[in-house]
Amino acid sequence: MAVRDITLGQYYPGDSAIHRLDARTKIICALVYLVSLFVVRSFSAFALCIVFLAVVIIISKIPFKFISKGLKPIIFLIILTMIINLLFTSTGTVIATLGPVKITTEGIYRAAFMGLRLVLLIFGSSLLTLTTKPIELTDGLEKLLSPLAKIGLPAHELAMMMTIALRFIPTLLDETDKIMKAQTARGADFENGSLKEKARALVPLLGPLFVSAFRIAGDLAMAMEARCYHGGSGRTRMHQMKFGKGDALAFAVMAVYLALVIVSRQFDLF
Amino acid sequence: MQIKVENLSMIYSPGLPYETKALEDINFTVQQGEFLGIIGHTGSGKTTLVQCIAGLLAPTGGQVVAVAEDGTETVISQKGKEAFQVRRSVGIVFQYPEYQLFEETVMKDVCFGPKNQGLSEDEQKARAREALDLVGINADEKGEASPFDLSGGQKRRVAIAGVLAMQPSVLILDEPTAGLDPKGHDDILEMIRRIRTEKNMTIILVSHNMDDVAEYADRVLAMDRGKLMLLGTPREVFCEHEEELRSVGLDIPAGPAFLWMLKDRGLDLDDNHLSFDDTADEIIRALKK
Amino acid sequence: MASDPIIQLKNVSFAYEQGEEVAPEAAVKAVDGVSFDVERGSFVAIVGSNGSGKSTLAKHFNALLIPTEGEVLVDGMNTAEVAETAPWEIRQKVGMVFQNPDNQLVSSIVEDDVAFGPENIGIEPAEIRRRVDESLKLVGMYEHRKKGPHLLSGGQKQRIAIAGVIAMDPECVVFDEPTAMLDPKGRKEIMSIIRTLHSQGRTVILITHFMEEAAEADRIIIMHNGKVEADATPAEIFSRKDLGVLEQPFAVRLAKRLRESGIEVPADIVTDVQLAEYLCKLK
Repeated sequence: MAVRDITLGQYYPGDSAIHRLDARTKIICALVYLVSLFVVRSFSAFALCIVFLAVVIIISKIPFKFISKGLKPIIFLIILTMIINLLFTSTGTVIATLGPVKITTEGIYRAAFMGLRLVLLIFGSSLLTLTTKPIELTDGLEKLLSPLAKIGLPAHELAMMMTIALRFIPTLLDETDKIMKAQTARGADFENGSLKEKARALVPLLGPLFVSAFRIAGDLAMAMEARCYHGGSGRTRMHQMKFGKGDALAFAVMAVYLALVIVSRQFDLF
Repeated sequence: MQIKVENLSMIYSPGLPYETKALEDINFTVQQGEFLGIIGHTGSGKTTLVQCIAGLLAPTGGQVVAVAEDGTETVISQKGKEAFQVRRSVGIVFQYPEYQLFEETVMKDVCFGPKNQGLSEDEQKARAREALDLVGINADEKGEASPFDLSGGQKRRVAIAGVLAMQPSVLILDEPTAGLDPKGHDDILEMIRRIRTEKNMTIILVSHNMDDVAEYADRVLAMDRGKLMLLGTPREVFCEHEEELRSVGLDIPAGPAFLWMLKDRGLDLDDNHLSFDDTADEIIRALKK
Repeated sequence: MASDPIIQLKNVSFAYEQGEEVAPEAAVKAVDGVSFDVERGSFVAIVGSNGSGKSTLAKHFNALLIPTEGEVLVDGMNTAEVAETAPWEIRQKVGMVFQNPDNQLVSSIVEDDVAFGPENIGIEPAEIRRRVDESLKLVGMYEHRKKGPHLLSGGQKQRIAIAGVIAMDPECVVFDEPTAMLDPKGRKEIMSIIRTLHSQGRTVILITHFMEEAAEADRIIIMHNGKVEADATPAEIFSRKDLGVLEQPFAVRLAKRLRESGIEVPADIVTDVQLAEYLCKLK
């Protein structure tokens, strides 16, 4: 059950104004938001990003506890980034010296900055997946990317791959759990020992996992064929996408937000 | 070794909106050498229960205790070296165990358990040979074959041998006959019965097939929505409590089910018969009356 | 009754590719010279031990496999020819439900999964919606339409898979061991849906290990080593003693015992319900 706690990429059912937006709107807005995080140069401007995100979260009615769980699997990555920034920034006033490594004010500033940026990146993108059904997300992507199909981008195939990946994440997690338990029952030890021993214990896990993944893929391909799947041509969709007033409003809000962020660069307070 | 299940509870995702009580205050004891059948719907907690007994899941309440021949008690359902040792005497065969095979040869796969137990290579092989022998696979013929080249039934036997090679005193099997044809089904059950007799092993069989449970088990444990609903001999459970089983939508063996069907249609007979012969005799008696 | 077959098998053989070094004639035939017709609207059960070739055979009914020898006609179309250009024309006539409920659902939302088939054959959106709702109601899963498959039981997932096939409105549905991985409750639900589909006039082909399920068919075909070993009504099949792979259903065994003790039971009684109804009339 432990592997199931991952919320990143999960949908949180709801009927908020955010949930009701067209998937394409949400994808574009999320992208704009992510870009804005890289435009920002100061903490004061970050305050704007945080307030904006907080408002969207409140409107979406998703419990903050649920969103923050999305950080769990990547907390290690965030901390690592922060440490690297902390240790390898040599400009600024030196505060402490650890052998060859110098901790500087600039290092602390950058570490905090990067950490905050990453957290907001995760929150921003998980808000997209939390408020958008996976299938709408992939449909939206397919629609958005379809103009690129003319230059050879396999938009439909990419979207289908995502749909399937989303569908089978829980299945593969269950499968992993099952194999681990079976091997634990046969004396394998995934919990104790050094990092090297733990890594070695994972090797026998990969074999059956790959075999399972291939079996599932084979079964699924067969089932899809049996259900008349033959690529994107001639395919219709049950859900028709249309932009509504809410979407127009969302784009307007997003434009104002982006403008504010860009303007904020002129007024970096700290 | 005796297994005592004491006040066992298991709550998944406590505190979250989708909190589920998989097990609620379960108490029972399994004697050494006993054949216990566990029945219940998907989601009734059967799998969670056996995984707690095998020490693969830590319960949120209560404990599972192993009582050795000399009376020493060890709590299986906790972390630590001692529990880890005792857990090895509880073997568990999961559903579709053949999907778990991973080594290049049958021999290597069966040796995986003994190897983890820290046995020497010779001992590992000796264990593997004995285990393969128990499941009716000739180690000389198939030992060096790839598990993937075997037939479905053979793969399953090899997977079971992989657990037997650890020489457990308790063997838990979760739906060991799922997906097999009628002959393969009977063969596996006969094999389990034989292993039990030869090794005086405790068998815990999780099954959906009421006829199998009625025929093979000494006692039947029925689970319903995380609770222990019934525990008794097949006769007690299937004949005296059939109404309760029906009320939660569980099957009963073909014989009593058919007698019940006749009774329901107005035929005057006694539906407290379990075996095929007794069922037939009762119908003949009722019809000739 | 005039013969009106939906599927015709003419001397069908199939061998899986064994790698290049094996000569074609040495390759093991999973299906070996099988010929029979499936009548429109009939209910046919195919039984046989693991590895008897029944699943391989089933995949020929909707052009998932093309015979290496012989031919398969679906509603008059030769699968080998149609598979080259538009296999979906056959597959929308002959739908297929597989054994593993988990591995045949494409979408992470139930109703979107059911819509997958109709979308592939280019049905109008409003009509897809109607069909999806109708199929989900038929299998009793309408209230679960917004859920994710990973939250459902095996039996429920299998019902979704059936709804996905029904939404294509096929004339014939092939079930490849649909209950093998289910608990008794799930099995009963699936069998009751199969009966409903048959009563709607659809052709049903059921591949199974459970003789109680096969007994409900109009006709049973026994496969053994890639060949048809027997092809007859359930009553005839179960009264034959030479068919080694078979386990007789409870009702058949009981009827035999009753006959031995002088109670007359007609030979065409093969299911529990039939036997119970008959015995109660005796008294």
